[in-house]
Amino acid sequence: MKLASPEYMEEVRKRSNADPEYLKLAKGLNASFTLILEPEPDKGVSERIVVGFSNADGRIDEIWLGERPTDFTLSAPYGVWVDILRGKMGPTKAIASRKLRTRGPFLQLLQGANRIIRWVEILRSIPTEFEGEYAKYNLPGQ
Amino acid sequence: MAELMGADLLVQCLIQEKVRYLFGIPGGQLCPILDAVRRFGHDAGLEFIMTRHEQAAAHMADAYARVTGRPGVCIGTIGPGAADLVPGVYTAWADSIPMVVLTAQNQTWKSYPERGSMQSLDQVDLFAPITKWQARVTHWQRIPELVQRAFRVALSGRPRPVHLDLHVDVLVATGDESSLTHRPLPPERYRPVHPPVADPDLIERAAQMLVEAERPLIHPGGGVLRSGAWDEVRELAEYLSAPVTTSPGACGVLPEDHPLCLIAGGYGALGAQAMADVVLLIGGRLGDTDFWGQPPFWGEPDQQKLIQIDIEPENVALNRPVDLALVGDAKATLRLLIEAVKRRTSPIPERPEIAEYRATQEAWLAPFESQAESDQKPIHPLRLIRDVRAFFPRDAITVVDGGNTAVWAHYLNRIYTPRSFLWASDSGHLGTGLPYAIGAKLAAPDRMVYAICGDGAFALNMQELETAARLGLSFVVVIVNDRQWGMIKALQMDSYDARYIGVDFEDVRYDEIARAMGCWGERIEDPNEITPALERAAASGKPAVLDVIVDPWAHLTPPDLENLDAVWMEGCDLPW
Repeated sequence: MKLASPEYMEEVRKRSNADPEYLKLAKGLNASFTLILEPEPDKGVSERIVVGFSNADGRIDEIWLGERPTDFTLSAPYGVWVDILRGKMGPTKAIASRKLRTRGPFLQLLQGANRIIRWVEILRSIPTEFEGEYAKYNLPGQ
Repeated sequence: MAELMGADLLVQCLIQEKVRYLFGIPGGQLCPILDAVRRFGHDAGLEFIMTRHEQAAAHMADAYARVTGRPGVCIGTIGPGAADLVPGVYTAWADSIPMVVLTAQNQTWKSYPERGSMQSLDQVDLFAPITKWQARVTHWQRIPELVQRAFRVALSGRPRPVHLDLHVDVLVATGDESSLTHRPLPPERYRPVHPPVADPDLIERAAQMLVEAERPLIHPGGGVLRSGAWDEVRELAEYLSAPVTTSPGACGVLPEDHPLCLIAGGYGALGAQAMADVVLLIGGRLGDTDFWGQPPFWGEPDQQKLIQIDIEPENVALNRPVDLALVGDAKATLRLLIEAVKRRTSPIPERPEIAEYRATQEAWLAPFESQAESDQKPIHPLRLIRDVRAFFPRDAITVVDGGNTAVWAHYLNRIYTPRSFLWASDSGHLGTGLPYAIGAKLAAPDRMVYAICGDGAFALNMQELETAARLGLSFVVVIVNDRQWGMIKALQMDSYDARYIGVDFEDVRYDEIARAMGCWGERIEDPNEITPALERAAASGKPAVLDVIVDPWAHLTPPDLENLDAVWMEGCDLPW
């Protein structure tokens, strides 16, 4: 599955909502998120990719492609997302190093740090194809 | 009038400054000074503390200054003695600690430039990058003038070490006291005793900004400790109901269990820093352990206003644009700021966001507290930190020395009183732990002192166990023994595909080394033995070493190591 494609996002929803640890950490979360994958034409990633999802009491209840107003926005060059997904850096480090930029109430984001870490673990388990030069890091999935 | 030797003049000046200790190792060219200490310094309360390495001597002087607020004084003989002081002076320099560094120098007629004398070294240049002022003392008559100036400079503005290079022919020269242009005098005759205060109009503006703020935040750095301004910070914070987040090196400005205090670097603090609309930064520079004062751990500079109080104009807006700069002493300026705030508003009731910050902090701490319950063997580092902190009283002085050890200690080793947390925060210098404990105990003999040291860090200066035993000091060093340079090994594991190089030690019996040097020593491998061992160590009345074997893998990766790495290795992506 191509990263951030509709089928990928559906798989994200399915695996997240089936993960007891994630659901426990996300309990009570009612918020919407936009994820922006910025293009890197010199690395063969030409398109800006924008996806979004919302949580209702922790469960991902809706996913979409494109921009909508959301509570939080996380944006980074495509390669940073790849680095996070292949485990080269954790999401916290990506935020601390300002490679992954955030918009929205930062306190709430910190409150959900463990949830985000677990969520990234779930994403890492999905068979994932990356664009351009990043294809060499494709994830086999579990 | 009487004839006076140069070294006697020097020691008279130190006595006038009420210097209590000279830390160092004797040397041929230092003997005139040491002899003057022996002849009349002792009777005036001045002691020479002989150490086993000059680096440790400088660390002890540093610790003495951190605890008392008065300059520490260290001394080294020419060449190797002076060079060996450097690491300790650098550490004090990095953390803005007032220190007077005295080095002996060859005769004036065969130095600067040196021309082949054994141990010769042009030392002024050596110390120039790590002292704020340096001078060669080339004439007997100038000794009082330059010693007085050294103390004046060390304590003025941003406090830092200063260096005097004392030629031995000047130390042994004699002269008629009546020919002196500057005589040994009490400090109030040659340096300011009332610190400078910021412009009153700017203080009024700062008060207005704070009163109008919806979510004000106070962020003290080490300058608050140097200035002695913790009571003022507390009063202002309580009046405004403003949360207080400190730089990591400034822990203890407010008791860490105070309702307004958020633990440095904790998620409650980081969230509060990001959400504040007005930040009052006092005596700090927002360096890398404060994430440069930049988003996301702080607000956007065009949305979050910054008021900065600093005694050093050079520090203003160093890492982040400032909206209002007040140049002045923290304590004196805060006093006026508090009055200006009180003229504008009655005390602000608790702000609702404080509870949310605290809840966030509690949630951040919860896993650490849970891990501290562990009975596992080898011992989990957090179990050790928790038990150690619980054993000592609130006002005990904590020394922390290590890489990962310092990170683990930060989670659960709470600091409750100012000038009670000794950590080489800006240099990260390892090997400070034992010398800091000695310096702290000498500075505050009535308080309990304990050091939490990594084994690598401890071994860098463990020869000072003999110094501590000889001096009859009583404190406890807890060695977090994982037999590795943990922080670097973790980096090699995470970023270099576990290609380890130069990071593992053999097992060393630090408890046996301690006993061999006249100290108390025990090795601990059972978590249930930590507290009984602490009781025995404290009761021994000796310098005590508890060599605690911890789980090396658990110790390797404290959760926030990744964040620190993000800051320290920013812009250095590895090509794999």
